[in-house]
Amino acid sequence: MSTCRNVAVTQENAPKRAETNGADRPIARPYVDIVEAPDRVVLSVNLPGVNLENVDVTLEKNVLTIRGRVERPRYEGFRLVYSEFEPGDYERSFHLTAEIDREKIAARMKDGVLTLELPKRAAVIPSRIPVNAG
Amino acid sequence: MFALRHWNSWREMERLSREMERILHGEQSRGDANWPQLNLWMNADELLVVMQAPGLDTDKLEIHVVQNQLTISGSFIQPALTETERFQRRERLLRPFERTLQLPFAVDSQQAEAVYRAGILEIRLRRPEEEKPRQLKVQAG
Repeated sequence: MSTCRNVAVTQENAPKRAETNGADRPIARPYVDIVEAPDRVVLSVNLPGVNLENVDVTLEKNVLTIRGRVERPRYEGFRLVYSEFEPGDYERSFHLTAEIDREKIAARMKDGVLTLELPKRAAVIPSRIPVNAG
Repeated sequence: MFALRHWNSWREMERLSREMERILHGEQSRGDANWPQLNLWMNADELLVVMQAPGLDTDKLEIHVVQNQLTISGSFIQPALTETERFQRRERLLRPFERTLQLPFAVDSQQAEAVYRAGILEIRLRRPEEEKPRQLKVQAG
């Protein structure tokens, strides 16, 4: 990315992979895409295995924190013979800049992807002034 | 093929692991973002493939089973950006993928079941009836 100007969501914090939440469950940093438009910022967060009721999005001052809890799968009578991922929880925080309208943040969850729409305050949205031919 | 009557789960695990290594490292890198990650569970008669694939386009998902080979190919719902939108950060895997697995035993393609839920794809595969290991009665001579 060549430029960082007008970035409404800045660097975030995430737990280290080895950290646990006290219940011996790993906490992973979820992958995220951030799309910026003149009037809003959209975060798409991969939370595979997380149901709607197990997503927690909190905003404290200017820190937006996303937490997702994964139901540990119970495959009765099966044993794990090959593993590329360890079911665990997700956590990641983002610092929001002042231009985000904190009252209007909207969230939806579909197929393990959390989408957060963060509208910018009206004052910072560049207005387009039509120029008429003279 | 290995002999079912001399089932050795450790050896089988190693073989499977080597196979996965080959599949994964035969490509450029194993990198988390390059492939949807999967786990494999099994019991004597069934296999359960559990793949993390959030945002999967299920209309384009294809699962093929031929004996002991499973191929999963698919793609993800692509974000439609307007002219004024731009990516500030891109970490999610959104490229189409194809993964082929050598399974520990041949499975019945007619009995394969797949469920996609909360971004997790679960594929349940069963060993054909005629290939299940049988207990032989030993008669006193």
